[in-house]
Amino acid sequence: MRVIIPLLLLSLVPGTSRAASRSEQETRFGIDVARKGLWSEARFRFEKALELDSQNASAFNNLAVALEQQGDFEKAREAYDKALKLKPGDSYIQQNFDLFKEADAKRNRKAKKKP
Amino acid sequence: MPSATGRPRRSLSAVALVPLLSAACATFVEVPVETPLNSKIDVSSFRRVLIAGFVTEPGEADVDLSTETSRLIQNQLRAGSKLQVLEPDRPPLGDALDKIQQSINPSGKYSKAEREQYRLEADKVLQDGEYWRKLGEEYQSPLIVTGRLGFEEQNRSGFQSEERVIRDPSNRPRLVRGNRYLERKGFTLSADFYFLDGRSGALLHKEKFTEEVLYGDEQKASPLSSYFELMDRLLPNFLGVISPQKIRGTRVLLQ
Repeated sequence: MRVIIPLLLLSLVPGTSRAASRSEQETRFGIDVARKGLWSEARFRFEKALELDSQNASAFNNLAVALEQQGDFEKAREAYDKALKLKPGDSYIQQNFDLFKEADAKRNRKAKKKP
Repeated sequence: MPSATGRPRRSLSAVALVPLLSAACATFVEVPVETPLNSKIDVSSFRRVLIAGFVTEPGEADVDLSTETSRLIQNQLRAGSKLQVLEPDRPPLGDALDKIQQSINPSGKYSKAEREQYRLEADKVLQDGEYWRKLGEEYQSPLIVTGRLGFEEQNRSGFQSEERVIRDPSNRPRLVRGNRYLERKGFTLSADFYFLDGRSGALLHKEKFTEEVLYGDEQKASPLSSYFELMDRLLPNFLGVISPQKIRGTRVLLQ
């Protein structure tokens, strides 16, 4: 048993790194399509990247941007929160989140004025 | 120094450095984003829009505010909304306002009290649901846009504090505080827009916008060009009331 457990753990390591690598690939592809303005496809890729690696802070950040672009603001906020929890103090994510909050405040101001 | 595996420890530290370096070189891509912003009122039940004209100050004016604004808004709505823009020969509110002017003073030259009376009477029309319902019936139940407009000359010339660096006799820089007279004149455009339901005459939404432009001593601008400059600033906000807008910006995507 003493031998089996470390072996099992070892066998998991390459699988985990393979998933992380595939997650990065999905993230990169998502960025490519986002640059072409294909935000639905980009969102799908970032979500897939997160299925493969739930610790991928970049994918959470990118997913948040895609959600924001599609008008899904609640989910965008959650995704930014998760990205910052995984990478606290990341200046790029923080900058995106600040800009998101600024735009969200503008939206809320307008919504409050509705009759 | 060799490690237990016989490999030099250097390679381990190199392995440990890889993620650090890749983190440091993390690539990012800046992308433009357009986040949607819903309109303030839902106009999906309307097929037409009528710009009924606007209440303005009585008497001579540098700019025919009601006509110019009606025309500008009609053009904007034709390009920026799905509604069919109705084009009456003359803004319909004009007739009602003419009647008020005639009843107060047919000469068109008003005293201060008469001006105030005109404002009150015009306000009554703006708030008269029955008047707007009848007008709506005449134009096949459109969304009606009307309101009150003001365009005033402004003089904000005056002394303004400033700091200058001068050199004293020994050529040393010195900060000097002082006041300087600045000539600043311009115009203010205020618009109080009413959005009315042509089926019932009910007020759907009311929104006030104010814009100001000031010019320095050397800059000269006619009232008409200033009016257009101010309307240019105001129109996107106006359109945001009845059609969805987009907030443009940039975000960073991370690899």
